[in-house]
Amino acid sequence: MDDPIIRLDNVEKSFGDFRALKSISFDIARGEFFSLLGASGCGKTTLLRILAGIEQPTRGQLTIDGKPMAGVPANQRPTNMVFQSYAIFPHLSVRENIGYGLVYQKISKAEAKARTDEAIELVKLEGLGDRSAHQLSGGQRQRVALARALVCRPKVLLLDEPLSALDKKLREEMQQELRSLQRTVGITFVFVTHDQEEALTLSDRIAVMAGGKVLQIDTPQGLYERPNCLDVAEFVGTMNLFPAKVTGVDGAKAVAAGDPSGEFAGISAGRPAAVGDTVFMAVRPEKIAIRAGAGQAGRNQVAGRISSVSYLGDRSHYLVAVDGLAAPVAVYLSNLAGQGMVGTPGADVTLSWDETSVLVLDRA
Amino acid sequence: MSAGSTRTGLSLLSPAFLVMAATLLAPVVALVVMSFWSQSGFDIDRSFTLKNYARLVEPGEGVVWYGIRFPFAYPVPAVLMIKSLAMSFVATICVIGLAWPMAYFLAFRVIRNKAMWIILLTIPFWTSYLLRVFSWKIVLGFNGAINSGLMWLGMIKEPLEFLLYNPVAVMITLAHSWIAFAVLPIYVSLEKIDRSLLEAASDLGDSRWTRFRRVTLPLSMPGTIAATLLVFIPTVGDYVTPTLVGGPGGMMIGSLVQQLFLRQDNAPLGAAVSIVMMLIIAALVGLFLWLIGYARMRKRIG
Ligand SMILES: Nc1ncnc2c1ncn2[C@@H]1O[C@H](COP(=O)(O)OP(=O)(O)O)[C@@H](O)[C@H]1O
Ligand SMILES: [Mg+2]
Repeated sequence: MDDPIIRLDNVEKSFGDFRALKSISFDIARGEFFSLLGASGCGKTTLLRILAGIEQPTRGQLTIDGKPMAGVPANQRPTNMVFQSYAIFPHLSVRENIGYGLVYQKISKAEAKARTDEAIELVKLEGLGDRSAHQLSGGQRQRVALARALVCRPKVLLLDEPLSALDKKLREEMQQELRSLQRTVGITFVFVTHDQEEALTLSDRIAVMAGGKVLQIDTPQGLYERPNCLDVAEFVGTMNLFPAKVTGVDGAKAVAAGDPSGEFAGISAGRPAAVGDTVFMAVRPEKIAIRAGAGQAGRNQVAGRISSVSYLGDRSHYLVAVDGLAAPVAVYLSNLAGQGMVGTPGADVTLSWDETSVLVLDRA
Repeated sequence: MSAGSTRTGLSLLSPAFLVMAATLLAPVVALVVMSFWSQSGFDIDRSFTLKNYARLVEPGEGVVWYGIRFPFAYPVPAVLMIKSLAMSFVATICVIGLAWPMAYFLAFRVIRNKAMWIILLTIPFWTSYLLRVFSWKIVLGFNGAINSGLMWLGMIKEPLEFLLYNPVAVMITLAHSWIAFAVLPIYVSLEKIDRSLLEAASDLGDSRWTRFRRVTLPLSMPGTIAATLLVFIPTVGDYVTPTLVGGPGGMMIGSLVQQLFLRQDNAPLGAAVSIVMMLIIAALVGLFLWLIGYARMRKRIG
């Protein structure tokens, strides 16, 4: 990447014997909304704190805006952070909190006040300037934390699960606001979340992390359509997995015999599969067609029996039990006009899908 | 809170209230009542009089003490009051000055075995107050540890007499006796500070020192104020320390009250002195809290 705002080169972090981050290398582009996605404990916060300068990497190089960050303390970095706990100063008013970092900007008092006002308006806290932290709701605290960081006009804004403490409705509202705010201010956002839906909704690109490693970095669509490994496939969205053994390979295309039964064809996700590999043939629930009646089993086609149906309004979720598979196969159908339900629990059905919808994933 | 739970709360509190009323309120009431009586010979005259209070402010020739004129016919209580306040003030400053770094160290630098450190800190309190004061007498005394040590080292020929029986000895002893009481509230208020607040301050541009000044110090104020009052209020009226290590020059107002009650046989006057002392301390504490904007701070920090 040319002229990235952030470059991580083999960054590692150990706490004693515990390796919290293992050889992290990637770039973040200017103006990008970049998310770190992963289960709790995978090292997202640690990575963010290294970017902020609160934590020092054990090894490796971090460059922000072209400058190496080794030895640069947090207060001299062009980054600001929205903490997971918001870290609102309890002894200061909303206005004093938001203006906290402005004393270090070379601006006049009047300009500082104008910028504070502007930030208060930006995050819709008008009229609350004189309140203190404990008189604010969770959503309002989150806005104060956001304004306090943005008002310093950092080159990079770091956000550590800023929405996880909010209820669902407020969270969705704030997601929209965050996204449009990021477009307005044009600052690079590095956003930490464990919520894959949130990451998919907001981000330009997402790094999926597990166990201190980055598994895949891609656009939301790329992650969903072309996960490069089993962990990513399972973490992002729902995935049906059919264990199989590869019997034929043609470039990226692979044919595999189902284990214990069935026959599948699909496209290799990471490195091309080789004959004899034990793999999962992976299919997203919405790519599967479902037909009433026990049809002939064939390539990318299995017979099963509906074990449950959930009607969700715009779509229905079917769980179909297939002989030889431990987990039932999930099938999502849009409830389009004129389309009735396929069947009720207990009904025999046939599932089929296109080979371009099948990913061949290494069985870990 | 509903009426029911208020009642439950009150009934739960009532044993504590009773004990407090018996041990705190009753003596104060007795003291107030007594201060309006008078002593005549060996008997106490129980008719109401203001003469004890009048005696304390009765104009007269007076004395000059450290350049301050006390124009009273009976100036001893006034002089001792001012002197006690000054000595307690200095002792309190010393206590807070020593306790603060200890509390800070405990809260921010000690990671493991915090409980052990806190227990170590309280070890001096396993012995009685009297014993601790006595031990200072041994340290500072004519044949005490400092004098024998210095003489053994050949640094002095004669024991230093100025170590004991003066206001400085009283202040050192007071400071030592109260330091652990001051460390604990300061420690608690520092320990309570969310570490992410400090990280946020750094992130927003603070250096270590500005962060200390802008976040740590203000957030420690409730504990620091509590510690200040906890030391200042009881030391003003202390009489054990001045009696044991103060000598005639180190006398404080508490010593006078004790003398009035026990030796000079004028309990009503002693009661009046106590009451006036209590009122002055209360007024000073009120003024202090008002000056530092305690109400506003409490609203914020809670
Ligand atoms: N200061 C620390 N000392 C020891 N272990 C830590 C420290 N900070 C984080 N860890 C460990 O590093 C791992 C990653 O933590 P973190 O980055 O907070 O994860 P996440 O934010 O993804 O939930 C966790 O297992 C955590 O216990
Ligand atoms: Mg975290």
